[in-house]
Amino acid sequence: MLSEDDLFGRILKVKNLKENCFKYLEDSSKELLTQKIIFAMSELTSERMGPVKLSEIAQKTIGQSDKGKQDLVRLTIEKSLLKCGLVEKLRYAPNDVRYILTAYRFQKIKEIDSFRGESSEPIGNVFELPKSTWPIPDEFYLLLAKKHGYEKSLNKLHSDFDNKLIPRGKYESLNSEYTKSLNQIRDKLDSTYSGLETLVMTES
Amino acid sequence: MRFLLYLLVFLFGLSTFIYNDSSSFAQSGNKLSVSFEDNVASSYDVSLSGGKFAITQDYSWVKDETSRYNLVSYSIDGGESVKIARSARGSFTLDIPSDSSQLVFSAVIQHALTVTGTNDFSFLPSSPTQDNWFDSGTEVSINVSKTTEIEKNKVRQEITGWSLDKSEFWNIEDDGSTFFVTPPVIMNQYHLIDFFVTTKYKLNVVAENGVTSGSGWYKQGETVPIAVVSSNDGLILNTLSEWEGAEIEHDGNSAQVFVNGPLTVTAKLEKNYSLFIMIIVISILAVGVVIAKKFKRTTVSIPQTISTVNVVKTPETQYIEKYDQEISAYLSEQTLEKLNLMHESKLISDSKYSKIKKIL
Repeated sequence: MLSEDDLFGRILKVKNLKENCFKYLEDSSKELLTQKIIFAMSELTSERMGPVKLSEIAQKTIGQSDKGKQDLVRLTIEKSLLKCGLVEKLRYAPNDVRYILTAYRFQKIKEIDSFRGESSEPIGNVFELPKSTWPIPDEFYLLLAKKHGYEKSLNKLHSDFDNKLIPRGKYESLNSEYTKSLNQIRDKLDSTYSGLETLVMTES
Repeated sequence: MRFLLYLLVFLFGLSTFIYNDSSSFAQSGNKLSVSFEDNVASSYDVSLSGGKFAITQDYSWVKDETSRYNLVSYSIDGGESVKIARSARGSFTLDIPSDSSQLVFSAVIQHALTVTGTNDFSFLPSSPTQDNWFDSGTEVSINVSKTTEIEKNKVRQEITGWSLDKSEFWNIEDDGSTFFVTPPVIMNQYHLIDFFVTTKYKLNVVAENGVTSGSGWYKQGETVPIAVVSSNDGLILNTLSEWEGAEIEHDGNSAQVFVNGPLTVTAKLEKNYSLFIMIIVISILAVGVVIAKKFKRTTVSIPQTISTVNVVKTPETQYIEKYDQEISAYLSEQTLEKLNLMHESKLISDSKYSKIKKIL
C-alpha cells in the first residue's frame, strides 16, 4: 500500500512529457488502448486508493481479464507507458505486480538542442486527468462539504441574531460550537490535505 | 602385487559394509509430519533420527496486505493442545521426541490497528502480541490523553476529534476529563484511527492589586477578552494605567489580547486620590452651607410639580422555537448542497459521491 502522502505527491506534481509521449493523452489517441489504460488506471487507483493489478486494468479497458488480455495490457504498458515515465511498476511479491500513474497533471514540452546545451520549453496548457479520478480519500470531500455547511450556518446564525430571532445565550453557545467545529475542519484541511483544496477547487 | 590386490579387495568390502550399515540406521529413524490447523501454512515432513529433534517455526507470517497469522498452540501426535507464549516476531523452537510422528500448529488471524495524530495513547485491552496487532473479531478501544504538554505551562496540544478509517469523524467534547476512550472497534479488518490535534498557548493575566480574568489556554489567532478588577486602599483607588506584555486594545478595565504564542500580560495599577479629594471638598462645602443657613434663616419654598409618566410597554420579542433543530437542518442541507455541487462539477466520482452521501 502507498501512503496518502505519496498519492498526494503524484497529484501535486506536474510531469513534463515529450511530444511522442504526450500524444497518448491527446484526443487523437482517444480510441487507442494506451489512452484507455491511462484513464482506467486513474479511475481504479482512485477507488482502491493504491496501485492496481493487471487483471483489474484488463477488465476495465477490455471487459475481460483472461491471460491473453492481461498480456496485451502488460505489453502496451511496458512498451509505451513505462518507457515514457507515465506509469510506475511496483513489485509487492514475486506473483504480485501492480501499476500506478506517476502523475495526474502533465505538461507537453519540446526539447531544444542548441550549442548552449539541451533545454526544453513548454507547449500549451497543463493537461489534467479528470479530477473525479484523482486518488483523494472520501474524508477530504466530506470535510469540504462540512466546511461549506458550517460557514453558511454561521452566516445564518449571525443574521438571525441581528434580526433578534434568537436570544443572546442561544446565539453565543451555537456560535461557539459551530466556530469550534469549523476551525477543526480548517485545521485538518490545512494539515493533512495541504495544497489539495486550492488545486481541486480551482477551475482547470 | 598380489598382496596389494588383496588389500584393495579388503578395503572395498569394508567400505560397502560401512555404507550398508549407515543407510540401514537412517532408515530406522521416524518421519515427522508437520501441519497447520485450517491449512494456514503448507505442511511438510522431516526425518527424525536418534535422540531429540528441534523444530523452528516463525511466530508470525503474512496472510495478505493487511493481516497476518500468529502462532498460539501446538499438539504432538493428537495429544493435548499446548499454548505458546504469544510473540509478534522471531521464531519458536520446539524439541520433538524422536518417536513422534505428527505435529500440528494452531494460529489465529490478526489485523493491525494504526493510530495517528498522537503518541500519548494505549490500547484497551493491550495486544496479545504486545504490538498494534489484534486477534480477528476482538474489540479494542483507544485510551488517549486529551492534552500533551509541549512546553510546561506555555504550549500544549489538545485532542479535539477523531476519525475511523478516514470515513467518519467525531468531535471530542471538552468535559473536563483528562482522558478520552473511543468506543470499541471490532478488529475484523485493518483499521486506522486518526486523532485531530490543535495547538494551544497559555495566556496568563496578572495584577499586583486586583482580580484578573481571561487566563487560560487558547488557540493561535484567537482574540481573548481580559479584565482586571482592582482592590482599593480605603478611599484611595487603584486604577489601571496600562497593560504590559503584549499589544492590547483596552477600554477601561477590560481589554482584548490577540494570542500569537504563550503570553503573560500584566495590569499596571496606579493610586488614584480623586475620590478622597472629592469627599473632602464635599464635606467642606456642606459645612459651609450649614453655616450660611444659620446666618440667613430664610426658608425656601419649593413648588411641587406632579408629573405623570406614561409607561410604554415594549412588545415582547418573539424568538424562533426549536432554533437548534432549524440550524442543524440548515447545516445538513448546506453540506449536502455543496456535495451535490462538487458531484455535478465532476469533482467526485459517482461511487465516492454515493459513499459520502450515505455518511452525511
